[in-house]
Amino acid sequence: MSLKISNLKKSYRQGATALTILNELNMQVETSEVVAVVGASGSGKSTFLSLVAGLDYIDDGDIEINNRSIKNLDRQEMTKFRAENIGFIFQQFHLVSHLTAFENIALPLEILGKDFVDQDIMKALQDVGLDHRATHKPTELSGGECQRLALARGLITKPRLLLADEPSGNLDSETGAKVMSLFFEQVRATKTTTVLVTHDMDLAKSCDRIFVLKNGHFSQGV
Amino acid sequence: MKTKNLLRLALRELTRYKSITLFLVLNLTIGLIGFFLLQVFQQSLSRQAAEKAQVILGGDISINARRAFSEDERKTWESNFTFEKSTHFYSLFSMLRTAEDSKLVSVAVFDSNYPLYGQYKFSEGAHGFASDKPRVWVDPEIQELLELKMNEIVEIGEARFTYSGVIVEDPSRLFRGTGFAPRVLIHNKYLAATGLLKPGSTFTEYWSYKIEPGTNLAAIKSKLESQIKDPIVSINTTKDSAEDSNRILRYFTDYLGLVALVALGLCFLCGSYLLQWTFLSKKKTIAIYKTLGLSDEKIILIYLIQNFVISVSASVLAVAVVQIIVPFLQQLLIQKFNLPLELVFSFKALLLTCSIAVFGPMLIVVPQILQIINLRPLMLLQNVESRDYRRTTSYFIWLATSIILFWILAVWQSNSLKIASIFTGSLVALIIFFQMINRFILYFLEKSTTKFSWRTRYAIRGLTRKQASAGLVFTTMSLSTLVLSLLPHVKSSIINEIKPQYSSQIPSLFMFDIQPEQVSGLQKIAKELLNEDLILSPLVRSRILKINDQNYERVVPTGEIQTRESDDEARFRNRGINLTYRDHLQDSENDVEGVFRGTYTQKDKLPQISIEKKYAEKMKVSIGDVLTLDVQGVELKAQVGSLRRVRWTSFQPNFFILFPVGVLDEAPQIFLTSISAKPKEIIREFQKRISTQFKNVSIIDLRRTIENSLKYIDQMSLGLQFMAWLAVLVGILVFIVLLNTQIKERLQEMNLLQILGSTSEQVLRIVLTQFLILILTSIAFGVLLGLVMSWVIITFFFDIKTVYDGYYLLLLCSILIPICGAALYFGLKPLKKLNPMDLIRQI
Repeated sequence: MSLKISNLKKSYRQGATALTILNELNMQVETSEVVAVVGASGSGKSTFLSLVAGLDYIDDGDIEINNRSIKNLDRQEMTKFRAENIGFIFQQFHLVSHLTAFENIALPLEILGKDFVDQDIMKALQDVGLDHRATHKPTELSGGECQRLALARGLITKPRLLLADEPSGNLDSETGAKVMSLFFEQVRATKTTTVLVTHDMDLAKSCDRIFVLKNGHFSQGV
Repeated sequence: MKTKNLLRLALRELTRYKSITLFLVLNLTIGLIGFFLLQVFQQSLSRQAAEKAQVILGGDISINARRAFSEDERKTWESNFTFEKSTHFYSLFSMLRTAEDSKLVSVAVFDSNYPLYGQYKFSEGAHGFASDKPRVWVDPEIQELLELKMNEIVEIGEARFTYSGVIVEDPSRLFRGTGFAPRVLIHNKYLAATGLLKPGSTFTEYWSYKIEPGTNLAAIKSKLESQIKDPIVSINTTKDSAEDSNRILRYFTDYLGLVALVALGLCFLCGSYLLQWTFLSKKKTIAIYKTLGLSDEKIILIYLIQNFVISVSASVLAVAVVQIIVPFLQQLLIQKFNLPLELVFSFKALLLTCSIAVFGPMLIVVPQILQIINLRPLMLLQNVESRDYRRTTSYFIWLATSIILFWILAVWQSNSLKIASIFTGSLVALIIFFQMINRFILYFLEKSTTKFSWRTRYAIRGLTRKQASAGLVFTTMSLSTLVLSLLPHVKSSIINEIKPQYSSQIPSLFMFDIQPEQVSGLQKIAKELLNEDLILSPLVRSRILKINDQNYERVVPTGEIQTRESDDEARFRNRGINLTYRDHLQDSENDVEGVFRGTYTQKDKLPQISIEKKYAEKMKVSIGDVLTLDVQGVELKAQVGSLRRVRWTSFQPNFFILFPVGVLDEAPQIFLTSISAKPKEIIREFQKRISTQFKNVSIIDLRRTIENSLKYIDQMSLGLQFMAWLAVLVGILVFIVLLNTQIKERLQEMNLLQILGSTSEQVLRIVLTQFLILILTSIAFGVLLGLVMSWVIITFFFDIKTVYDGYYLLLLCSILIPICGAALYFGLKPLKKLNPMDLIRQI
């Protein structure tokens, strides 16, 4: 099992009162499964992603990724674990503007200290149809190209879990559809366990399962 | 939209971008402080000089020459105008002797009408200007040095005078202590008795006139100039006096002004970057204004209002800071610099500073707004990079206009077309050079990135891919460090050249006004006390009449803008020239063109003379040119046979024009000589013997004179250093601004790095590496270029050996690096609060 969430609780203090965002949340995602998490604005999707990515502390419950609990990992260990096991795709792409497409993809490998050859990066670029844009910087790419680049970067380390935060949210519908088609093609081809956070029900329907986040709980959809 | 609302919108934006507004205000304030301080100083100087012009000149119009006027001559010029009163005055050098000691003094000889204007103040019981008996009044320095007691008998030349008190206030001099020797006053009834006015002696005769107010002095001057053909005769009105007084101090403030301009230029450079950054971060706001229907003109108005508010705030702040500094500076000027200058805030200085504050940044703001305004709102909302629209034709026109305006400012500040052009040209060249160096370093680093860890590689890429901002920090820091590191080397080289304890070649004494009949007696004393034969250099007074048969005439100002060059040219032409003759070159001389033949033979059609190279350049003469000279009434032709280099700092009797022997031998002449370094007691005894036996001979204590000069060098370099530190302060501010903006701009990137697996320490180290590379290379290149440029200046302008001030370099680095380190420490603080969750929460 790639992702197991048990009785996850998270609340934030707002003045004197505690605001519960996630309450007794449970989820199990099998290896290679692609699931969608949908929910209205303010339902706690971002908090959920932050906790799964180990960017925030769990109040109660547990998160296991690849059968390893991340609850008790210290900051250093979590950083290492995240780099080795989790890939990210953001709504705003978040590419490094002064690096070329090639360098952006190579960056996670460099941080991890993994050996790689140029062909590995070119192959990743080729997979997302950007091999001809290797020397271009993000500012010279279109929105769709940027997201494809972000997809290639998210998958380059061959993560156990890919977290995608509204990947088509910043794109027009046509480009969004094309990018998401490539997204599903890639994650399925690489058998990467994926959690896609979105508010687009049509997009969510392309996933294996849908989790609807409401009042701090999941209710499983399709 | 109503103006009131526009104003509100503009002010709201300013307060929302608090830190940027603060940086802009601070940046401009630092630049303005230096500029305003200098304006206050320069204008106080001008005001004081103008107020005292009549007193300094000694009348409304004054005619003087370094020769005696005949009575006919005087009557002729006096027929040109009517005057209420006149005064006759002499100025000459002599030794003032007591029973124990003697000192060189500048003797001011006045008549009963003196002074026509102004009030002298003497110490108690001094009987100021009384002519009842031979009295002498002295500058406080002389009283202290010779420990004079009231009514003590002292000797000047061959006459005895009663010491009658100290000159407490001398209105005829703006500042004391800048002259060659301290002043003493005697009445002209007793001048003849001194025996100082001998043929060939060095003296200046003045005739000053009090003229009815309202008379056109310029017209009188012009009439006199056309009548008195001799260029040695100087004709001055109160206007000339105001402009001419304290020329050295003015030259100094001119240079000070240029250093202040470096600070101001750097601050505009920094402001330009900051504004560009601000506009780019505000482009969405501009797009929204546009889509909401705000016209381009109104958007421009919003930013002009903001610019105006920033400029006014900076001006107010700068004026307030200067107001606080001025009383301390006033004290400093009086106590340390002996300059009783009353520093006042003139309206002109204030207006000038405010104009610079308002229009300078406008020059930066307008092109930046126009670039953004011209874009369609859609492009603004999308992330269009600045480089896409930066290098337009209007950008280059704006750049050229800015440089031209800066040059005009430099001309105005330095009063010299040549210096301003060299200065502006060098500054632009240096900026281009530093940008190129920076690019080269970054290129080199980029090429060698494979050798480094990913962190260093990433840090270097952050610099190489953002060359504009990296270039700005590199240029400003290098330039300000260069300005700061340049001066001490020039100073240390000059000190090394002339400081007696460093240079044993420097003589102890320098003697002049030696009459031919005194030579043998002098040699005898020298042999007896110093055990050496003195090398006496003859001095023959003359003036140049023609060069290659073209009249070398008086330069009369034409009323055009007076620059330092035209001023120098006029002064250069309107003075006499001292000649000497020898059959050889001294150790301090060498031929650079042609060969000096020491003896004139009948074979030569014309005597072959040697001219000092720079003097020849000024006179625009070269080898083979013929000079016609008036040697005390006798016309004499000579041909330039050689050009020679003279090491003036040898303090030997050096001359611009050297004749071979056999031409001037019979001309009326006096002699000069120098006495080599000897123990103090022997020198003291020698000086005593000479001043008692040869009363007209003037003796300069060279070591004391040099020590005084070193004091002035120290004082002037202190002023220049202050301005240079202002430039550095701007440089540091640029660094802080850039650090701040870069960190803000890159927080998202740093969050991303953490999400991708790097630790916060690694992120911190990346940014630290970037800024350390920038700061260390820029300081190193600034210092390095400072060394090179000081060598150029010292070698080619001063023509002396370069001595670097290593101690100062260490001090400079040990101050600059910790300051930058502290800036880094505080600047990097936001990175410690990185929160990668922001990337997920961001919409």
